[in-house]
Amino acid sequence: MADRLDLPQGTLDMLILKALALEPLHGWGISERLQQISDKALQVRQGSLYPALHRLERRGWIEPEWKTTDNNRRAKYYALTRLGRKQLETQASAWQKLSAVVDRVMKLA
Amino acid sequence: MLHDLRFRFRALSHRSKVEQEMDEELRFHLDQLTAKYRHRGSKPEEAIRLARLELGIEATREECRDARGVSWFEDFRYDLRQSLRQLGRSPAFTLTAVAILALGIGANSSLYSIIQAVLLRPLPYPDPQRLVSVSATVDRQPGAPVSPPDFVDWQSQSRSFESLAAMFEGRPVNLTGIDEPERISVARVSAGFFDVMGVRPLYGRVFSREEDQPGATATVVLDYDLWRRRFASNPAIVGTPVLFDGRACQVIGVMPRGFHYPSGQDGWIPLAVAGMQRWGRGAHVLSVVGRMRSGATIPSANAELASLSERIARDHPQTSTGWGAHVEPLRDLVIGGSRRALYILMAAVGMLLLIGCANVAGLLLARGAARSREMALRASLGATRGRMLRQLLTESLLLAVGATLGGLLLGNAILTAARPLLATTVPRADEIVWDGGVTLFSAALALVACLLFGMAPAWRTARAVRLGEVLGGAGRHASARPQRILRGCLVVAQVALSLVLLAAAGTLLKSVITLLRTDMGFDPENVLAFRVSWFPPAGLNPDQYGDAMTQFYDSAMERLRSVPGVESAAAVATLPLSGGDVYVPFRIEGDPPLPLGVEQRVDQQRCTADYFRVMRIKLLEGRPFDSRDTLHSPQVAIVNDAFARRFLAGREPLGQRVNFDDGHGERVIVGVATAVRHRSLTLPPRPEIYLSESQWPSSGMSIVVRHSWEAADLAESFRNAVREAGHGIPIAQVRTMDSVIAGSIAGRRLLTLLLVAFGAVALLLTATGLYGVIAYLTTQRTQEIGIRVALGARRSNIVGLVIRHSLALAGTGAIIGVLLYAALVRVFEGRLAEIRGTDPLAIAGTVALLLLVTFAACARPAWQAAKADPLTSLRCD
Repeated sequence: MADRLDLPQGTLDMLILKALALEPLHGWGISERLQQISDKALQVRQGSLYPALHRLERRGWIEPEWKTTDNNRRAKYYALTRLGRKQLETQASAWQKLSAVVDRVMKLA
Repeated sequence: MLHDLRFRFRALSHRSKVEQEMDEELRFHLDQLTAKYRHRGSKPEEAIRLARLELGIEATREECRDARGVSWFEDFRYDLRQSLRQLGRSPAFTLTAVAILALGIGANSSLYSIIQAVLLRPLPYPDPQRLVSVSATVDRQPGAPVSPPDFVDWQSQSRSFESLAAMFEGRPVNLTGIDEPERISVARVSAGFFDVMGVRPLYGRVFSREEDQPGATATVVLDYDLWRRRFASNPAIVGTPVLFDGRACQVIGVMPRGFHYPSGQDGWIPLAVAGMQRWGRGAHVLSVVGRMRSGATIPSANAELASLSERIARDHPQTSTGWGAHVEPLRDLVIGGSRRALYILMAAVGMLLLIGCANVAGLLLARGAARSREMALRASLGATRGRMLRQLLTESLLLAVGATLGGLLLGNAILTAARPLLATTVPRADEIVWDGGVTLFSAALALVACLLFGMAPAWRTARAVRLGEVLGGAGRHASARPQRILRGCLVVAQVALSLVLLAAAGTLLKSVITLLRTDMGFDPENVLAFRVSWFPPAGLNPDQYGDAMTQFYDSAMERLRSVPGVESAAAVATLPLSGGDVYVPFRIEGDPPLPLGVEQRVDQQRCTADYFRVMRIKLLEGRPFDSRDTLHSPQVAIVNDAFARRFLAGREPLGQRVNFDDGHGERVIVGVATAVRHRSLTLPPRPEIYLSESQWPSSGMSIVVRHSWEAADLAESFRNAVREAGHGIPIAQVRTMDSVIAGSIAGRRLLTLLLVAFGAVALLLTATGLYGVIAYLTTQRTQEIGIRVALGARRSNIVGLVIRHSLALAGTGAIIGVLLYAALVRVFEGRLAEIRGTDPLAIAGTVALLLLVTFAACARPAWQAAKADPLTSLRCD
């Protein structure tokens, strides 16, 4: 756990969108998914996940739906909207460009 | 954007549902987290603890609300609910706080409604900023009446005014020819008067310049109230005659409701200033109002009249040297001296509200101390200080809302109750209304008050205290010191402000008592007074008026004396201390002529023979008037000792002759009387000269009656006696002489009464505040006191300890208060005639009263501290 990374400002939203791109998930699922994909390198602070979800919902990028989980509990699932999918594409390409540039600068300097 | 709005709307409209869903969502997460920790091998409790630590429910909820963009509103709703619950849980505190604040706000609002109507609002006439009053100045002192020739010159020669009008004192007339004759008063005004005021009649018309001439047919414009009361609001009255003193007078118009200028008049008749020209430039008798031309300003009008006055003084040096003119807004004249009194009262109720705020702040602090555990608990659950501050201020806001409602009710009630009093003591009283502006003022005041009393206690209470400290009891001591200091400061402030109020009230009270105790030169006890105006019976030749008048008054006195209980009766032209004095030029035969421009004047009285006996005015020399003095005998006069000292120094007064140049020739002085405070209680007596009614009859008189016992219906007997004496002449304004005297200082008495009442309320509030702090301090120091007692301190030592502490607080407040009062008096020195200087006796009395109240307030806490069992108090923590 020592080399856990802090998320740069604003990237949490993008990661949530990415996590939801495959299938609708509840909050817990998103946090587990992010941990799993990043091979536990990324630790989303539990407290900041939900405010981010509510913020994305307010913007209309994700859409909630109450569903029953496998072990029969009601949970709030979030799904990507069309607006959200478009947003993800924009943000992803912006991120790729930015990281490439930052990468190059770091190597050259 | 649209989505955003819809989301926020749902969040607001389905608030509880959204909150519920959020809670369920977080609970689900928490359960999953707990399950994960258990899966890793933690014990159940440990797993729950770890999960809670990681998620931080309270903070997350807070942030989610923020993210939803509705947190402010939602928090407010939450706070509101919470606050209502909190306040409802301690009704005694809530009621006390609301009552104290409502009192302050109510008093302030009702006074504001008066100030708004009297001082702030323009006069209720068109273009009121152009309305001015013009007075004559003597040696640059404005305020003197204007002489008829001067007025005519101003009117014809000045360019600053659209119109200029003159008024003469109201003329008392008997409205006769209807079932019950009534004595009314009509204003005598020149034709331009209604143009100046800019008011058109409700019915009919106002008089023309032709009707404003001597010898023109008598006309009258009726006041709305008189028209409604005596003529049943009948518009057909216009064009028909009414009888004034038995003579026909054509009603030509009725003024609209609410037009009462000059105040207290029942109608307006033409002045016919042309007929007054022969009185000369020395006859300063008229009040002048004007409407300035647009473009003219007060300074420009003043400059023009100044040059005009110079020219008049050049042409008529004998009468006009040293005289000038002064233009001021009419509003200033109308408001007069009430401005000062109203500002004093506003300052007083402002202080009352401040004291109330300090008091409630003290209560809130005490409550805050009791809630430190609740606050610490909430802080440990993630509530920020700002959040808690808001919650506490919401409570204050609720108190303020309650206080506003209470204040509105109370203020309205005060205003309603005070209306009859206001009508006689404040100008423009009929314009005072409780309108939206006043309500707004109340609300704004409540908001300011809310911040004043709520901020400091909320700040103290919401400070971040670690839960452990509070629960362990240590927090109580950690927080005790600043809390003690703050509460001490609040009490000191209350004491200081109360002292200022009480000192002002005390100074005024003493001045009123001194005034009422001054030797007035006459004995008002058991004297009743009323007004009568004689008018000629139909068909009487004007040559016989004088004899008829004297006969009427003689016969009326005769009948009055035979009323059971009556000792003596007399008539006088102007009653002491009720205004309307006659001030005339005169010379003493044999004196060298006066230098140019210097005038010698004296107050002139006319009375019947028994006047000195009825009023118990001592005759120092000579004789009173008696039956020897008739229209046809040598003219006589009685002077007062002030006159003798001033004008006859070193000469024997009896036998000296005075001449008023009034066509009656010279009058021989036959007596010297003690001087009477005739014009004002506050001023020393002035030189005065009495003439005999029988030698110079006057139609309007005041009758004074001394009675030995108070028979029932004395007034009714008087009415009958006067009616029988002369063809149904009515009487008016039956009053005791004491009430006439009280009436002459009514404004000051009312101001005193109000300040004393405010002072009493302030004292009561301060006492409760002091009690609260002392009681709190003794509880705080229970342990210390316990140790002292255990170590052998006697009960008297403990009582002394508490009292010393109370005195330290009250003493500090008293010192600050005295300094503050002295500073205020210094700042306003000269501008407040009512509160002049620092009366050491009044202030000493005030301080003594405060210390007495301090002892009373700390008696119970001191006693309780003293009888406390040391063992219990040591175990207390």
